[in-house]
Amino acid sequence: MKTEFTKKILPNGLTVLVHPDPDTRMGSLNIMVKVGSRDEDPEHTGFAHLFEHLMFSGSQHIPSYDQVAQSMGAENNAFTSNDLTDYYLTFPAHQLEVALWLERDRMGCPVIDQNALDTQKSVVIEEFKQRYLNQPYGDAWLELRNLAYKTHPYRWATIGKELAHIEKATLDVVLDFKNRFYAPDRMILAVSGPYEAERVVETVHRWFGDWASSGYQPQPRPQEPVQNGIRRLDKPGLYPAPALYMAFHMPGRGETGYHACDLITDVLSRGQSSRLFRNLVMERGLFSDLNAYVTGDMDPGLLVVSGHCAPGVDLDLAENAVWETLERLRHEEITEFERDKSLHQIESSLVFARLQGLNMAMNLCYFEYLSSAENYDLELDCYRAVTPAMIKEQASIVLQPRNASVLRYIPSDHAS
Amino acid sequence: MHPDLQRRPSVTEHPDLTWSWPLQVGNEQGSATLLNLGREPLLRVELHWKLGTWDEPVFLSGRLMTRLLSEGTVRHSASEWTGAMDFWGAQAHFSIEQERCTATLYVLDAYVDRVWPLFLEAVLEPAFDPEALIRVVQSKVQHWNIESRKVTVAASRRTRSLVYPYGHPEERLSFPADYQAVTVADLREAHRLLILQNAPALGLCGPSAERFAQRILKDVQEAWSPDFNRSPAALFDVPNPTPALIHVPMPENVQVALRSTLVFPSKSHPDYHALKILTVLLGGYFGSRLMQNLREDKGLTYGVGAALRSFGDHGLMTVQSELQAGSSDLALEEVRFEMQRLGAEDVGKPEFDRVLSYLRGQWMAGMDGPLAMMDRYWDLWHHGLGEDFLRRSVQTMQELEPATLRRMAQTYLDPDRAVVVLAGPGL
Repeated sequence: MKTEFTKKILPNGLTVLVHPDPDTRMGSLNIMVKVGSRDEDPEHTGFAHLFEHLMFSGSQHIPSYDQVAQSMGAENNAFTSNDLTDYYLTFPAHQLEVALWLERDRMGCPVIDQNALDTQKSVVIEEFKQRYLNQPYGDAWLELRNLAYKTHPYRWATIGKELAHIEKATLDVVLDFKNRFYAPDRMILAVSGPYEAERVVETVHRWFGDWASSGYQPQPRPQEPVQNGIRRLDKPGLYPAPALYMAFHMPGRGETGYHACDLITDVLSRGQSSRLFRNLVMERGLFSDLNAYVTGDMDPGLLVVSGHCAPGVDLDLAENAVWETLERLRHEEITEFERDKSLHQIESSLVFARLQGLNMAMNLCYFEYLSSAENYDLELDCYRAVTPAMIKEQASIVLQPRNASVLRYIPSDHAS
Repeated sequence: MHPDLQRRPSVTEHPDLTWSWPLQVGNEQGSATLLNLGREPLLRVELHWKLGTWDEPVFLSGRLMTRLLSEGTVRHSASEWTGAMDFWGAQAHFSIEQERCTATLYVLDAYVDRVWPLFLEAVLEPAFDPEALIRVVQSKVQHWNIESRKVTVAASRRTRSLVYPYGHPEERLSFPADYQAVTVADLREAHRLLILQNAPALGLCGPSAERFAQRILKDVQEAWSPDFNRSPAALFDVPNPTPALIHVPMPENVQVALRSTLVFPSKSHPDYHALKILTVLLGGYFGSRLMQNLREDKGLTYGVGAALRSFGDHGLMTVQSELQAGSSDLALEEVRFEMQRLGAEDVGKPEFDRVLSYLRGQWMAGMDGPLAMMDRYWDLWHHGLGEDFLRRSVQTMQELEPATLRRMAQTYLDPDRAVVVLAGPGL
């Protein structure tokens, strides 16, 4: 798979990527800002995400972002993660120039006043309640991050450590955040659609070239010390079923060992023939659902196993069964069949991800942020280079009890 | 050089509202719907039946039957079958909705020959292993236990029981005991009635679709006689429900779920296209009136939406949101106000133009790429509609007047006829 794209870094530091796709009538514009919740002050968490909301409040020359976006037939949204903030827009291809004008004004000249801040604080507080408080196990990630990380900013969720941080956000702090992080040298812009790459680069340059870079370099983030003992948190309460979340520290997205860890989770839970699903869900009936996945963070992240016990199953018994499955991976190599199966599944997923122009724009931005957009095409090779011995080695490092944080939800009638 | 940010760049082109449509290829015995498009070496094969949960011989039997299609066949155990599908990186989805069943396969071109026979085997010869049924039922019950604690689920379930008349299959709500009552014999009967006794419609989509079409069509024709066609259950009468305002107290939650539902005409009704636009104006996009009012002006919610869902003989327009506790009275007043405002005054030109521009963009996006085009085709096929629906849709976007929209709102968007459910704390 060879992805056609052009890369250009403008004098102000803005990285521009263009992926020509002659088969579509739609254009996609993706702007990735190199700021996420990992860049926040521990006393002011949730700001990257709050700021993302405020970026829809209008700008100096365009009072209503949404009205212009809608008038050009565009669909738009944004999201914030631990590592980045991403803004995206899809539109009928002939509207590219309008899209660039719209984003240039929003990114460079947003108007953020007290009224917008007050409204978006309320909206984010409702989002916090909706996602984390208003459903069973909704707080799992708030708890799990806090348990697994003691120093690194990944210990709080993107939405913030607590509601009070959002409630107390002031305009000064929010604007300071903008001035530091929202500048062309901290952004990657990608366009996908039926365009000539050179003309797109010229047009982007025309709209964004005058915008001054900030030169801001974030402070080095505190490193998470090596964990030296299992951490446990049992939460008794009125839960519908016992639930188990196990998190293990693992390499970051660009580090050696990442792909092996990702393959470990594939062997554990990708598809119904995976080990956890086949053994603990299908054959032993210990869990009603059970998954393993990696968080894929840029700094060292987490490999997570989570699931709900089947009715009447003892949580200790179920947890022990997971440990037995993990233990096997630490001591035996996976089979060639399992490795080939995972590679076929990854190949299939990578092909699938190429079907949408927006996905291509987003993935090119992400790989450029991570290392280089050229590396997007090397992903399958990275997975192919992982041998069963390397997986065993990585499993023996990562899947150790002393590297684990275990969160358990215990329904009141199960609580001792 | 400084760009002129004060002036919106001018655009002279117009949205391209033309479309490509799948071809029919086949022989005297039948045909396949084919979209030979795209660049990535991926094939989607799909089988569609016009029967669904409303045609289940025993309550929930169709739902459990489709779930068990991926749990092994008479020739391959569940481990063998899923192992082989996973090994080739293929994805099989078996789903059932109110009026349709669908079996879909995604597979890389290179592995079609290995995967397609397995996929067809699962559709035709599922094992329906009793132990697998027990496990799946346990999982469903567990899921039910978790979901029933959510205000959104409670509000939606209560809404269904109020909107549909007694005896309508949609009126009946599922409980754990209903899942536990389904037997293997029930699954076999559901499989026979919904799948085996009906020749499915076949579709293939992808750059190599044509290459695989004849072989796959032949297999399908050998498996089903074209004479096999069981009619869907008779269309159910869905009269306008009795207006209601119901509270479902859930004191342990922190937000209130709102559902406000009206019965609308279905996709085949001449008013449908205008009603779709009306729904989008009310709550179908980020700039909608409800989103601006409840979220952007008052900060009462993270999101509010209005959606129009279409069945064979009726549609449902539902406003839904999760609201700040204590704000539901105010939110309800605002929903009522926005519904009435659409019937009382014409939508101003800037807003009217904006929503139509937005919808034209959405229309293009909905036709962009082979998978999207095929999705659109099958959705219309299930409703017994075709390209004429698309023509009318484009025509409505080009010719609709604000006054027509106001008349639609007066006719259909009456808050006094709505079934309103609030689920959550402090009610």
